[in-house]
Amino acid sequence: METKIFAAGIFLLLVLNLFPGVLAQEGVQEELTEEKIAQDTMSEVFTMGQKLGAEIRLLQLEKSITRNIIVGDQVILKLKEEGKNTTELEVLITELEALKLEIQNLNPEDEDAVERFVNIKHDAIEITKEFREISRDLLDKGDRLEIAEKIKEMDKNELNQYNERIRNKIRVQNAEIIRKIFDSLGIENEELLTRIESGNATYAEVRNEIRNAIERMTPEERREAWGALKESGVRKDIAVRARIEKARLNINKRRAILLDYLKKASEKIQDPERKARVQNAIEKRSDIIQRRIDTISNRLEKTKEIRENIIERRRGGRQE
Amino acid sequence: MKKVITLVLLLILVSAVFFVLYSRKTETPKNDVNLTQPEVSANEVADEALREWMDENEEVQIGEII
Repeated sequence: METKIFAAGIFLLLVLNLFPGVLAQEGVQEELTEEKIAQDTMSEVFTMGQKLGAEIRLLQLEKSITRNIIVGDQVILKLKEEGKNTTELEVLITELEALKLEIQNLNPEDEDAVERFVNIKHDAIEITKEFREISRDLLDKGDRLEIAEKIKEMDKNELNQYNERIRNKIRVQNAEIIRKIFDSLGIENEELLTRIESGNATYAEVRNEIRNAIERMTPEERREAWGALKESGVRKDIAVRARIEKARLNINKRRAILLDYLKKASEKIQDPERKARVQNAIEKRSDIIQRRIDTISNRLEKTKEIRENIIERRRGGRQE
Repeated sequence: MKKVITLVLLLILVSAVFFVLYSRKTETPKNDVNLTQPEVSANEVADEALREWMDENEEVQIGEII
């Protein structure tokens, strides 16, 4: 009897110690995902200080939304073939179309362009997640493979056009940034700047050029260069934090904006039956949109600590 | 009786090991701020200078729809 209790005890011990291990692992994964969203958003906003940087980020977001609209439409087509109800998914795609319209109407130089970018991105993340969760229950593995194959064969012209525009703007932006750095460090290399602008220079090459110039400096000059760069970085980090916080504080203004763009996007639906279904469903959409806004507001509040940690890690690395 | 005591001791030991490992795993990285560190490597300065550099293939991630 004692042996049986002992064996049962050992088994229980193993289970008890494995279970929190699994939970801990899941916790780490979830934290990483939140950290990734927070970290990505911060580095995206970091480069939005100038008009061109803001244009690039808005265009990149528009491209990601467009890709999800294209794929989402394929999912809807497949489900329709199987005679399933797709109204909710159609509404979600129209919501993505509404976000796309909002980006297209946004002036990158507007004072609120950055906070609108943060909120539109978070809206797009939530809508994409909702779509994925609903369609997961409606599609089997075979359906998903079939859709994936169809997407591979599809005409990617629209997405390629985005890639081209983004690539050109990034080259100009990088050349502008590096020109300023070269000027401040006394580097003269017009040839490299031209190659950056034409997309024929790599990050490693540019980094080497800067590193070599710094190695030629006296320790005093190097400290000065470091101090100036670090100070400018810290100032930008503070601006990033303020802009994301502003996005959170102003998120409640979004319901009216979203509903307005949703109506405009539904007007553009070509199929009259789909248009009628979506427009009818939009009437009841206000509460769902408010719940989503609350979720995003909580997320931005929750990830505040992650953002503070990232900035502190950067700032704390070295100080003058 | 002896086995029960062994079992309890084993439970305490394994829990303690788990607790230590788990605490380490979830510990938030701390920054040791050194206010008087004067030496800066050329690599560090170069990395700081290039914080705004954008990769041509960079994307704004919003997740996969399927």
